[in-house]
Amino acid sequence: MLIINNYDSFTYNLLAKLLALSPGHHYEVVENNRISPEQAIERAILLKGLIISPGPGSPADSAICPQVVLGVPKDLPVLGVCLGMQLLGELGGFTLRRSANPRHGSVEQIQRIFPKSILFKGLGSTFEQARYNSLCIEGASSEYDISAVGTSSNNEIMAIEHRSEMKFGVQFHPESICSGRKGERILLNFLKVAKALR
Amino acid sequence: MLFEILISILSQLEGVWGCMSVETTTYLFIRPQKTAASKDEEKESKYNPNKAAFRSLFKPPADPKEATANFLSPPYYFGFLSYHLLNDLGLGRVKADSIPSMELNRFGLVYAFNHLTGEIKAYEDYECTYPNYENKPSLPGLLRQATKETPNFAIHTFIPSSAASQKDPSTDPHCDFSVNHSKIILEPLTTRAQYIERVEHLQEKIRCGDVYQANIAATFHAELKDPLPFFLSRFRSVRYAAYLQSPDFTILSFSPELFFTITPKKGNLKITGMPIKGTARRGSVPSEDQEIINRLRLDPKERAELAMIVDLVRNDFSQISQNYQVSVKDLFKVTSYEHLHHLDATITGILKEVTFFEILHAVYPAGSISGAPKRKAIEFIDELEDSPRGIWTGSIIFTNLSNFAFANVAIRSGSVIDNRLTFKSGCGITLKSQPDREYDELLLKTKVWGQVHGAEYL
Repeated sequence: MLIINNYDSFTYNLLAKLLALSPGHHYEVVENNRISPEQAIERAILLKGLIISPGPGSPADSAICPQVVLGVPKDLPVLGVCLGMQLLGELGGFTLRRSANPRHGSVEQIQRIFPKSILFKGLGSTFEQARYNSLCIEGASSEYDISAVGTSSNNEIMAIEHRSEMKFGVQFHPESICSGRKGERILLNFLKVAKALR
Repeated sequence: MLFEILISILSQLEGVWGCMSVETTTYLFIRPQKTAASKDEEKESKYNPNKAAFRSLFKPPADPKEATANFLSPPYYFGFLSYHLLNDLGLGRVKADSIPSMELNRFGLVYAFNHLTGEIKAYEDYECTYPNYENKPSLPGLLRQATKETPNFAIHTFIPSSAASQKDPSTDPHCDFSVNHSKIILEPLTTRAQYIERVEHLQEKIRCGDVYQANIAATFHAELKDPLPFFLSRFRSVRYAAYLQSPDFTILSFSPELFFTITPKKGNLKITGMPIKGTARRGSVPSEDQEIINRLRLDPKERAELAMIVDLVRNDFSQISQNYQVSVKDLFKVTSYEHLHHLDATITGILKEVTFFEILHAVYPAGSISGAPKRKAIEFIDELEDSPRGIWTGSIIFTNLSNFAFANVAIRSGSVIDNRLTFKSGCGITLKSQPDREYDELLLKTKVWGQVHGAEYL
């Protein structure tokens, strides 16, 4: 899979967790301004998946990421983490705003609001995950193809899934030291549906 | 008791020398290869300061058995990395002061004083030449126990005789380090109001999502004519204290924080880091102290600060570790120091074969004194702090540039040029920080140096 790094300080934690969950699977990390969108799309198709990393700022600061997300085939597995989810959300019709409860490095009770969620398979109706975000997305889910599948305790969107495409997003950080086994399970669920496991 | 012997040696030294404590061992570096660089070399070094060191490859020693027993093999480099070394590493662009971005001096003789076993080892590098050799110290009353020699270097082991260990340093004419001699008054150059403004500015950036945490500092100055007695009077209880005497400046470090160690382990090299975040004062009585410890361990703000830095160090170490895998232990452990308590954690990884440049590029500067995401934090720090950091929040390092390294985070550290000490003190700022309290915390962190002038009015 291709991982586009938005100059975050947690991108390699994501890579480390993915590698531990899918030994032998090939991952490539590239910075968001070191490759053209066309090249990135080509690599993502070849590597059978795309991951948009967390990062500072807003999706507008993610360089090639919007073009790559719009340019990849509909059946390519895509996972957006934090900034990556905000980007998927914005492109799917959601709007970006400041979170009423910004958190950095502390855990949040995630409420699973869609029982058939693919990402949250095997997890309970609530579970803890680490958050690092000041911004969040909002929007009436029924209007769009992408819908919220998890929320925070104050009902901000914490995870999204596309109804027909392989697009997934999490606002929290499943790779954090504070997200533990449940974070790993979420990544594993993505890898399973993306057929990245042997 | 080894401290007395150490101090009596230190007091006799001239020229370029250094020392560094790594937990229970103090290393003393003497016989520098060169006391002054020639004009040509100086010119060369200005344009190309660190190229050779950067290219050095870290890989496990050929014979793992030998390596684990006595891994301190030459060449012995001791020196420092300034904060602005990050410019040379291509990690940003920050203000620089007159101190070089990196200086590694090669030393021909290293004494290791193990305060736990009471043993002294001397590591002698036969291939290191020291033309201007001046600082020849004597080891008073020592018994040379055994010498292990190879063609290139030798390890001498000593056990101090009882006469040496009972030596009273106060009667030694070389040991003039009375506490009175070493009292200094700190001049704050950043007012509380200025600091609060910087913190509030940063917090707005956090609200915008531009950065999650950054370490913002205030600057202090002090008149310090005699850095050595000052250092000797207060380095004993400091886990990663260090001193470097260069011709143009002196560097003092009272750091409690390990940046990283690289040591051989079972045919590999292991990298270990112990980031510190979260601070509380010491209590005046044991029961109060314990209460403060318990509160610190559970404080959500302090835990979040450390969690963030642990995630960041995992990320940094991953890049140079085999299969990108690292492990974390002792998360949210409280360690107590003379003036305060801190929260910490230990992160380890097994190194891939990497150059010194690749190591620094992945981990420099330390996450605990920059912030997350690091690149953005570095930008905001440079924008908000009005003077260069210099050696402060860089690193003091002892390494052979191939299979071992001990590097501290140069906090509670500063430089002395022309009798003037400059250092900073800072705090990790998050959205939960109360600007006023953060200023109190950075004042608390200056206690190791001395009294802040007019502290009660600040």
